[in-house]
Amino acid sequence: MEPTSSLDITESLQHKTVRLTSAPETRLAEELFTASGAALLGWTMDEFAGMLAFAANRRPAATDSENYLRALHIRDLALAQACARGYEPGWKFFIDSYREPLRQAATVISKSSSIGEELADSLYAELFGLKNQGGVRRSPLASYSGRGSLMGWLRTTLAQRYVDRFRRTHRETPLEEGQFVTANETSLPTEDTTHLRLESTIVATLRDLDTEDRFLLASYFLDGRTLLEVAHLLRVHEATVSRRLKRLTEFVRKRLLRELQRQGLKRAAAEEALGVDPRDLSINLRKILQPATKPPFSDQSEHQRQNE
Amino acid sequence: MTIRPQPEPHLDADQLTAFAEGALTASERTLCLQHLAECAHCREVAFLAGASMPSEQPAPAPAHQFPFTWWSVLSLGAATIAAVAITAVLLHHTHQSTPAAAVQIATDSLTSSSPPAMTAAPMDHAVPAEPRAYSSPKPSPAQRAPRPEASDQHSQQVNGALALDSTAALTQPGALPPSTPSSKASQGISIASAGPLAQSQARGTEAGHAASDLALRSYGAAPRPLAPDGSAEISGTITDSSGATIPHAKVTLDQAAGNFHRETVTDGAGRFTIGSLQPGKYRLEISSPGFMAQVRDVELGTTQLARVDSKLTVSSVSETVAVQSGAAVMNTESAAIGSTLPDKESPQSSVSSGARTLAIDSAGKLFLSKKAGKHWKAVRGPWKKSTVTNLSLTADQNFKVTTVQGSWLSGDGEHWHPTN
Repeated sequence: MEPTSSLDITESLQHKTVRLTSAPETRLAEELFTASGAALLGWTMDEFAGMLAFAANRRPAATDSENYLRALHIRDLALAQACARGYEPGWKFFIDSYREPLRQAATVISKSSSIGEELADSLYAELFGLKNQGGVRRSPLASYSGRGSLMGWLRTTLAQRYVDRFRRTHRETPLEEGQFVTANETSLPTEDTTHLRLESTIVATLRDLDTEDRFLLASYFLDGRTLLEVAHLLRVHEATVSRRLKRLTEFVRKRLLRELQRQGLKRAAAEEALGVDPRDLSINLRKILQPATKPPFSDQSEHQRQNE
Repeated sequence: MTIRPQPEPHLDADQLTAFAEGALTASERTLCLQHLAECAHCREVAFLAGASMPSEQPAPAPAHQFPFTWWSVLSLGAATIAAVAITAVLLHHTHQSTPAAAVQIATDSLTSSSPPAMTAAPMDHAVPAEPRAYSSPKPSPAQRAPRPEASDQHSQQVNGALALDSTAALTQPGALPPSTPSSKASQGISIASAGPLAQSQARGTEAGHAASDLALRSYGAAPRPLAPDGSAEISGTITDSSGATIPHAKVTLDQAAGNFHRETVTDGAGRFTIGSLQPGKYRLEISSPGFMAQVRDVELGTTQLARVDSKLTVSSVSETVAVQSGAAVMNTESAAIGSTLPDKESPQSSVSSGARTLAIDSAGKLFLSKKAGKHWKAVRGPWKKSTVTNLSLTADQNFKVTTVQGSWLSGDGEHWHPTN
């Protein structure tokens, strides 16, 4: 399996010339130029304004450009884009500031100091822009938009590279038996109408859940993530996730009971049906919770393409 | 880590970071969640990146936001009704709190030059209770010392013709005897006056009277500062026979057994105060040019605040009225005398002999208390339903009642015989 690549929506940054034309935009660019310390990173005012104009084009639809630019991590953005463009002052500042945190984050992600070191060095080289396309150095830092922090972006990129690396190194590792058993492929012969009803009801119920509920169920039950991990990602308290999960499972159970009763089963029979061994059901929860859909932010990508 | 079939393409690092840091708009966040719910790869990346982030523990969200349902309306209404009821009760107590603290005990004023005879004068200038602050200073141990028994106080009763005035406005914080449940008014004052500790103790024993306590606490008499060393004080107002105050009257106090001597003069309103007095017997002399001088024997107890109001009579020659026995010293530390009669009225006048006190109300009914005003009962003497017009104490400590039908004498206030 090939390693996956990120959505690169900022390609050809260095080939586009975008300028801020209006007086307010120019004043804003000057203000942000000063605030970000861009001059120390090797930026000229014109280049910085062009970079800002390009960053503003990546904003979501119906968002004011000034507010969007002011909400950005402008210092991180100036640093990342300076590094992506190969400005020496910027790159030196990046080494001084992020080399050690990057190594530490890689160690945490890989749970190994040696692998972490290797992962960090690899990413470091990649960020420097070893890839040449048409003689132009291309750095992943160019895709950094400034909406999140640069350190967060680096951690996420490290995690992506670690997953990709894992996939590369584990490509030929045989899957555990039954690990990815899909019900459609290994469906057991089910003639029991109660089971059929239950399967269809489960599918309908889970597909009716909203995205966050499905994310909770998938993270907690499919991925085996802890409450703390889920809470950390959703930026809520662990107890909040616990309560949501409890309510969610109760809701699913009640909904299943109601649907089964609506289909003609008595309550006792419906409860008995819910108590069936899941291995007897020919459903693939993973497939129900994770249907293939269109790419995320596709609308935004269209908006961006229109802007470009 | 496991390898799972994934939908393509994935969220990039920029989007995942913005999602994890809460920098996305609501619609973008929904899109991200939608993808994350379906993409194990991106969840894996997001969780790995999150694991390497420094831990931040957000505050827990509210447990459950209940919708605005019928029971919430009901509970809101119940709370409103309760608040209105409490306000009504408080207002009721505000209007019901009588100025019971103001009691005047008077004998015949010395308006005549005849030998003094004890008669009761109607109280015509009772002082209404002043609002008192809720919090009273915590009494010192000396202040909390038990005051002398009421019987001791009343052993120093009137034997002269000086008009005596008492008001429970002089009620002191602390130094109060344990109040009995039956005297709720005095109990309330006691609780209010006696500092937090005594208040809590009193509440513990008399929790059922909390409402009356609260009302009295708010509208009781204002406490006066008490000398921390337990010393006593004498104060009073000097008036002439017409009731006009006599300024610059000379007030001399001499200790009966000792060489203590203190002199003062009344102020422009005819008032005087002599404080920091040790307990004991004193001789009080009041004189003013053009008036007959008065001499009183006063016995002061610990922390006692005696109020001696005097009416001086005009005299063409210098005369001195000698009081033969102890002057009537009001027990101003206890609200006992300040308590109301059974008909909820304040006594119009009262006289005491020993522990027994007789009082008449505005309707001329006679009441007897054997416990210094704590318990009252109506007295039905041989004058039947005639109105008592005067109440006094004779020189031999007998009660004397005057009605339109005549006068009666009694030693105990219960058994009466007509005067001859």
